[in-house]
Amino acid sequence: MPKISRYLTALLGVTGCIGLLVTGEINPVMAAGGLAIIPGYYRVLRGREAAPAWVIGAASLLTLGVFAFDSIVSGDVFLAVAHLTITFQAIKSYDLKEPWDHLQVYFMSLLQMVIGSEMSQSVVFGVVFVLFLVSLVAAMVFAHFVKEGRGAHIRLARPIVVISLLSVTVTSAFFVVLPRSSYTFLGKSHTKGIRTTGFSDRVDFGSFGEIKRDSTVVMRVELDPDIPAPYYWRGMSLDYFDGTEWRNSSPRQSRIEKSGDEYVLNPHGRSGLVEQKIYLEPIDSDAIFGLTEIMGIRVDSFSARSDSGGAVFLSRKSSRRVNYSVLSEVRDDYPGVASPRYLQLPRGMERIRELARTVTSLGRSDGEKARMIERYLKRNYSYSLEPSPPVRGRGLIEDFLFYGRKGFCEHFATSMVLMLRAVGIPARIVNGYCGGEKNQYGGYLIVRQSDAHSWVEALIGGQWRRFDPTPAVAAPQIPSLALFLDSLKMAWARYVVGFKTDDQKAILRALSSLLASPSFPAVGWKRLRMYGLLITLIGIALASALLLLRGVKAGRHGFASRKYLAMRKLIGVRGRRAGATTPGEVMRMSQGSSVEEEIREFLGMYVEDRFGKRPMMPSERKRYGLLLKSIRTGLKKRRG
Amino acid sequence: MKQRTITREGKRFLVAAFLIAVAAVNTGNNLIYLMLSLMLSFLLLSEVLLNINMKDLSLEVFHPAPLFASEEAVVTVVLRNNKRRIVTYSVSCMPSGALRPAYFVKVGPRGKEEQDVGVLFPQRGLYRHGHFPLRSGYPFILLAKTRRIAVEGSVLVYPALRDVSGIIGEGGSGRADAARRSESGDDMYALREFRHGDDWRKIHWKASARTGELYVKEYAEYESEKVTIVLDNLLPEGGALFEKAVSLAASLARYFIENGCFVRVVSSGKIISFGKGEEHLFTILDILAVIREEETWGSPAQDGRDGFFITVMKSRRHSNPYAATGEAVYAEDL
Repeated sequence: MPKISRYLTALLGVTGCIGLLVTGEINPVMAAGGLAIIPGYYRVLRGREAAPAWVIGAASLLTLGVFAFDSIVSGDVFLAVAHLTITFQAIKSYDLKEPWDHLQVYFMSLLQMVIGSEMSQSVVFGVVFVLFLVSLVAAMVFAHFVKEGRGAHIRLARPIVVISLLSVTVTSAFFVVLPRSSYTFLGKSHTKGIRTTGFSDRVDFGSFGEIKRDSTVVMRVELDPDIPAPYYWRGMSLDYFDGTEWRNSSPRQSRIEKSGDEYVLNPHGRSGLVEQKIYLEPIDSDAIFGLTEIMGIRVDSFSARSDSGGAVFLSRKSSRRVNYSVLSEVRDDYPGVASPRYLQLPRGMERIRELARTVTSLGRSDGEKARMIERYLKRNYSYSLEPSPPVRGRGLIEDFLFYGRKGFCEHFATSMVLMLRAVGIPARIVNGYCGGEKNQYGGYLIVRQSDAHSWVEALIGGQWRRFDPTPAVAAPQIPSLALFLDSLKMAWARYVVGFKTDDQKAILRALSSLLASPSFPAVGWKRLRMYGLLITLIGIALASALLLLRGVKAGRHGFASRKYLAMRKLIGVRGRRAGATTPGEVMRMSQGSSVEEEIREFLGMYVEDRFGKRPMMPSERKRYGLLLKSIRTGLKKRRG
Repeated sequence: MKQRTITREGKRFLVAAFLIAVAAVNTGNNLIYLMLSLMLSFLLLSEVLLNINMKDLSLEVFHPAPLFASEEAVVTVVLRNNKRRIVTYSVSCMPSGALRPAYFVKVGPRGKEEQDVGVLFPQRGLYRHGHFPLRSGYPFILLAKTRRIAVEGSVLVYPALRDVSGIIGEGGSGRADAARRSESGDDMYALREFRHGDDWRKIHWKASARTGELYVKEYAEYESEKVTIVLDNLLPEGGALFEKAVSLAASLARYFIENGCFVRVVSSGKIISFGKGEEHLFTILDILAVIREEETWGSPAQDGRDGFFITVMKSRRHSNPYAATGEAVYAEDL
C-alpha cells in the first residue's frame, strides 16, 4: 500500500474513534483497549509487518468477551457496541495486509460516525463529520487507484479538493430534500439529557442551588417580535409544600387539542402574540418552556399534554433536542381558579404567619399585600448560592427568614408563597428559567442552567399574577468569542440537528416564490446576515482549497527550483512565456542591474543543482537563500 | 454503448446505506440523516463524475512494428481527452489482441497520453479495430463503467514465421547458399532509387551525390538466384493445415530473401513477381496475410525462367500443377 493510503487509513480510523469520544458518553475503562490504536498506526506508518494471525484472533476473542461483559453490566448494548468498535479499530491497525483491510477500516469508521450521531448532537461532532467526509473522499479516491495497482506517485490534491467540495454540496442538498420522520419507532434515543431538577412532580427544596452554578446552555430562543426583558420562561408550577419538598398535588394531565399543526391551549388570533422559536437542549424532563400566557404550541410530537398548573408536556420517548414554537400573549397575569390546595401550609408556621401579618398589616388589598411581601423579601434578605445550613429541628424557611437571611430564588419564592398563604392569598411556586443573554451574532437569547429560577404566582382578583421576590443579581459578562461560538452552535442546532419538515416546506415555498416573483424579493436584515455568514463560510472553504492547491503546486518543485521561480518572478518574468525562459535569458535580462553579480551567482548555483546533478550542500542552500533575499532587497531599493 | 457495474465494495456500501436509511427513518435523528446524505452523495457523485470522466474521449492505436500471428508484439494506444477543462483520470482500455489493458492514470484537458501494450494475435489476417472497451471506476471504488469506443483503422497480422532451415531440402538450401555467396553477381545493368531493405553496400555513391537522392545498383538476375514459392491454396478447405502452409510459405520467403535470392510467390489467382529485399518480403507478407483458398488454379504454367521451385502443399493428398516441379514441403509434416 502506498504511504498516503496508510496515512489516510490511520486518519479515518482515528477520526471514527474521535467521532465517538466527542459524544462524551464513552466509558474510558471499557474503551481503554482503543489506546492501542496509537502504536498500531505508528507501526503501519513505519511500514512494519502485520501482527501474527493468532495474536489478532486472541485479541478479537478477548474483545468480544469484554463486549459481553460490558453489555450485561452497563445494560446498554448500544454503548457497548460503541466501545467494541473502538477496540476493533485498534486491533485492525495491527492487521492491515490487503487493500480490503483498509476498506474495512473505512466501513468501521462509518459505523462509528453513525453510532456517534445517535449519541451526540454537539457542533463538535459536525467538525468531526467534515473531517471524516474529506478523509473518506481522499481515502476512497486513493483506494480506487490502489485497486488499479497505481497507488503511488499520483498527484490527486486538486481532484480531492474538488470532489470534497462537491460532496459537501451534494450532501447538503440531500440533507435538505430527504423526507423526514421526526418520530422514533423502535428503540430509544441514546442522547443523554442535561440533568436538571425542578421540572418534575416532586422537587426537593434547595435543589436549584446546584443547578445555578452550571453554565450549560439549556435553550436558545428567537423572539418574533423582539420584546424587552424580563423574560420568565415558565415551566411547571407546584402547589404542595411539606417543609422539605414541593409537590404537584394534582398531577393529572389532559391532552391538548391539535388544530392544524398547532396544539391550542387557548383560542387566539394571530395579532398581539409573541412567537418564541425555542431550541431546547436535551434535558431529563418532558416539560417545555415559554413566556406566560402560552396560547398555542407548534411542535413535532405525537401529542402534548397540560396539567392544572398550566405546565405543558410533550410526549417524547427520547431525550433529544426539541425545537418548537410557542405563541404567547405576554403579560404578568392571566385568569385562574381558586382552590384550597393553593392555601396549603405545612406544620409549624406560626412565626412565619406572624411575620406575614406584620409585613402586610398596612395592606388594604390582596394585591397590595402581595407587593409588600415581595418588597420586604427583596429589601431585607440577601442573595447567596451558599446559604448556611439550617440548624437541626428548625424549618428550612424559618431558618432563612429569621436566622440565615441569605438564600437563592427557591428560598425567596417559597417564603413568599407561604407568607401569602398565611394571609389567605392563594399562591403557588413556579419553576422555570428567567432571563437569558442576547447574542448579537445570531440575534437570539441564550438561556443557561444558571438561569433556572423560581418565582411566585398569586391568585388575586381571579387572575394569576406573577411576583418575583428574589433580589436582582448582576449577570456575568460573556466574552464576544464565546458568544460567536455559541452562535455557531445555534446554527448547527437550528439548521442541522433541528432541521424538520416545516423547514423543507419553507425552503420550497421560498424557492417557488423566488421563481414566481418578477423581481428579486426583499430580504430582511436577519436573513441577509445569515446569507452573509453562509457566503463567508463558502468563501473560507474556497480560499482554503485554493491555498491548498497553491501549496501543492509549489510542492512540485524542489528547493532550488522554487527559489529560482521566485527570483524569476522578481525580475519580471511572468505569464505564459515564463516557462520558456531559460536561465541564460534571465541573466541577460538582469544585465546592468545593481544586483547583477548576485543574480549571476544565484543562477550558477541553480544550474549546477538542477542540471549538474550535484545537489546543494546545507551551507550552499543557506547562501542560495541569502542571495535571493539580497536580490529582492536590491530590486526593491531600485524601484523605491 | 455504456455498461455500468456495481463493484463488490459498492454493493457493501449500498447495503450500509440501506441500513443507515432504516436507522434514520426509525430514529428521526437528523445527524443520521446527515450520514445517509453523505452516503447518497458518494453514490450520486460516483455516477456523475464517472460519466464526466469518460465523456469526450477518443482512442487511436498505432503499431510501431509489424505484427505476426502467435508472436507477442507491442502496440501503442493513444487516449485523447477532448474535454476543454476537465482532466480524465484512471481509464483502462483493452485493444483487440492485447495481453493486458492499457491503463491511463491521467489525461489532461485537450491532451493525450500514450501507452505501449503487448498484443498477441493467434491468427493472421486483417483485423478491424472496431469498438474497444474503455473502462473506469473513478473517482471512488463503488461503480465501474465500460464504454465501447470506436477506433478507426485496422491491423494486418502477418502469418507466423518459423525457422525453415531444417525443412527445406538440399536443392533449396543449396540455392540459398549460392545466392548468399554470389552477392547477386557483378553484372550491373541499371540504377534505381533506394528502397527500404536494400543493402547499403549497393548504393551508387556517385549517382547519389550527383542527384542528391540515394541510388542503388541493380544487378542482372541470375537464374541461379531465382526462387519460386508455390503455395497450394486450392480447395478443398485445409483449415489448420492451410494456415500452416501459409506460415510455411511466408517463412520460406523470408529465408530466401534474407539469403539474397529473388523470390516469387505463386498461388491460385495471385502471383507476386520476382523481387528481393525487405520491402519485397513485406509485399509477399501483405498478400499472404489475407490469402484464402480458391476453387481453381488461375495462375500461368511454369516457364524456363522461373528458377528454383519449392511448392508448399497442405498435405500429400492434395494435388497442384506445380507439385511435380522442384521441391515440395508439406504443412502436415510440421
